[in-house]
This record gives sequence, structure tokens and C-alpha cells, in this order.
Amino acid sequence: MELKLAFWNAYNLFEVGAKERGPQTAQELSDKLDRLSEVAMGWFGDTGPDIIAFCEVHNERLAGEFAKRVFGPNFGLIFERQGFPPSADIGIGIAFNPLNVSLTKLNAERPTTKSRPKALVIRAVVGNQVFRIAVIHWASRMQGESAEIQRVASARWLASEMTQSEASGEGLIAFGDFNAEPMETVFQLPELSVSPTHRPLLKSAGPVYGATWRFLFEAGFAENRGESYQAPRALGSFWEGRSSGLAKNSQAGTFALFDHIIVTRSLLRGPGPRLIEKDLGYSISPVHAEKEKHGEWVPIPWSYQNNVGTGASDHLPVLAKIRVS
Amino acid sequence: MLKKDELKAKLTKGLNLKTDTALSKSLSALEDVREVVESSFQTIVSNAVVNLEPGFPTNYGQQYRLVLTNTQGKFEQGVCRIYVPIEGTPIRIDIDGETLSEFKNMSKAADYLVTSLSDPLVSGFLVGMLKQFAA
Repeated sequence: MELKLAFWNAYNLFEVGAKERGPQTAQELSDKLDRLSEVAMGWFGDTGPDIIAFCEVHNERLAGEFAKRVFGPNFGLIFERQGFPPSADIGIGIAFNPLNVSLTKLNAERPTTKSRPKALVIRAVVGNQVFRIAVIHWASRMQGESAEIQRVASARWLASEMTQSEASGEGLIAFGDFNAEPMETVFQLPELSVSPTHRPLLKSAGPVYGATWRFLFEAGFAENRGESYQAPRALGSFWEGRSSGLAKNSQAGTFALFDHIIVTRSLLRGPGPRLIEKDLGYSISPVHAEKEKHGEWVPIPWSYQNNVGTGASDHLPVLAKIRVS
Repeated sequence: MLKKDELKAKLTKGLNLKTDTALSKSLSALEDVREVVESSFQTIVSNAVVNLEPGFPTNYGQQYRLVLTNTQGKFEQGVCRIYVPIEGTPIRIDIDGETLSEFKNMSKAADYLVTSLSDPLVSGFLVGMLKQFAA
């Protein structure tokens, strides 16, 4: 059996009127939820995910509304509550199809009282197969240099979780919005030294592998030479553009590769669940992504103008499959 | 031949500082902050405990974590992270996990921390959790 997993930053999924940058009417909120779920159900050849992790969601009610639209009324959901307003009132969660997988919460990173969650660690069970999932939403870069310190602290926390997971004989897949690009120092810390190479000997030597990073460093190396050679890859999985709803019209947008999939060694060569590398990718569709001027896919953020919603999120979703036999 | 006694006497003298440094003043004040926060919580929930735990060294100085728990250890929550440089000041506090607020000294930083903890949303959560897990 192949378990289909996805992560997506839901981009300001707030209750109506809670924030200027969130939905302002019930209709807009409903339209945005419909757009997110429409895109999600198109993943994996229109079969949809078994597990969808997300961040930037205001509260458990909205997380449930999203989950219900993707999985129907009998969805499973674990939501790590939001922090305190005005800046931290967003949470992270993971919704799933309980017919295919069972999830339980193990831990969460909440470094201070007012902080929003930075990570949520889950145990996934399919039959007698077990692995762990870490859903990541590290500190925003909008706070400048000091946010680097926050991400270093989060990296140390994640590294500890990875070590514990491997010591328990359970591989761990960490995916999410790291707010850091693959080349940044946070991924070169002794505690979280992430290997970017797919080449088998080097990959096997390291404890942690940046699975999606091969799109940057070794594009095409690990993919099938058939259709999946065209696996979606992104110049930037995050678009910070405030001047327009579309990248091609923007005069001030910048792109960054913030959304990653990182796995520990058991998911590469352990006896249990295994990452299926050839199926990794960033989700693209004309609804939520476009090609920028160099021909690379970038996200179309949600905007609601003239009663018409465009795009979906300022992040691209990342998709992965885990083989569980 | 190593002159052990002589070396020990020299080092002991070096370690036994007679005058306060800016760093020692800040660290002493940090312990005072811990005591104030702990005793304040204890007036509401008697078994509250506040610990000061070392974090990791950063460009802003050593990180310390102020952690609220209770004597049974049934509840634990990081309150804030405080950064103290080797020069003693400035002091930086992280309340929300996103921003570092900078202060000239520990006194001003403590005032900011106390104001933050007095926010009804924050105090309601912390006191509520302490009471819930008091027994």
C-alpha cells in the first residue's frame, strides 16, 4: 500500500473579520475553503491525499471545515492550537482518512506561553507499520535577524525528535513551511545537518536527507525517465508579493524555497515504511500556480477582488508517498 | 613538576571575584526575576514552580528559558526566553516565539515580562492550567 501525504500552508485561513489579511465575509471564507479543498482533491492523479498537514489556520473549527471538505464527514484531525494574538494566533494541524491510517499526537514545540506551535510530531500506524510525521511551521522571516535564532532553536528541537524517533526504530518524515531555504546555516548545524544529495553512498552516510532538495541540486537524478521526469519542481515554493494577485503583474514579488520534505534514514533504507522518491513533487495546477518569467512554477496567492477569488495560497503544496507493506 | 597548590590558589583567587561585573549583575537580576514570577504564581496556586534553564549560546548571548511547572511536574510551559550577552546588557526577551524585544537592563526587561504575563489571556491560560493540574 502507498500512503499519500501532503503539506500546505493554508495562507491566512482566519475566521471572518478576524484579520485584515484574512477573509472579510462568510462567502469569501467559504470560497477560500472550497478552493483549498478543490486543489487538494486533485492531488495524486485526482485520488486526493490520505494525510494532509497544514499551517496558518486560525483554529480547530476551520481546520475541521477544511478536513471535512477533503475527506468527508468522517475525517480524522489533530490540531495544535493557535498561540496568542495579535501575532501568534495561528495553529498547525494534520487531517487524515481514518480508514487508511491512524494518527496520534506525540509532541509539539511551543517554546513560550504566547507562541504559536512551531512543530507537531505525530505517530502514523498502518497495520503493523509505524512511522512518524513532523509538521513544521518555523518562525517567520518578517522579524528579521532575530527570527534566525528562533529557527535555530526549532532546528535543535526537531533534531532531538528525529534522534528519538530513529532510536525507537521509527523513521520520521518532516515536512512543512521551514521559512528557510536549503542552503541556509540552520540546515548545516551539527544537530540538524541535512544532506542535499541523492547519490546513494552519500545519502546513506547521513542521518537526515533533504528529499525535495534534489530538485535544486540534482534535478531529475532520482526520477523515473518516463512521465515523472517532468515532476513538478519549483524555483520558489513561497511567493512574497504584495502588489498584485499574480506574479507576472507584480513589481515587488520575491520567491523562496521554504517548503521542504526531510526524512530520516529509516525511511530510506529501513525494513519498514519507505519514502517513494520518484513521486515527490510540488503540486501545480493552473488554479493555484503559474509559470513566472523564467518558466518556473510559483504559487498564486489567494486574493478576493471584485467578488472573484483567485489563486489559493502564497505557498505551493509538497507531496510525498510512503510505501507501507 | 606541576605546582598544584600554587595553581589552585591562583585560580581560586581569580574565580572569587570581589566586585560585580555587568554580567554578574544581570544574572543576579535574572534570578530575582525568576523569584518574583514564582512567588507571584504561588500566591494563586501554591505548588507553582518557576525554573531557570540554560538554552544555547547565540549571537545575542546565552539563552535562558523561564519554565513554569508545578511540584508534581504534571504541567510544564516555557514562559519566555531571555538572552544575556557576556557584556551583561542589553537584555533581549522573547515572549511570543517570533520577536526579540531589546532592553537596556534587566529591570526594564522584567517590567515588560510582568506586563505580558498580566495579560488576561496569558494569565488566564497559565493559572487555569496550574489549577487544573494542581492535584
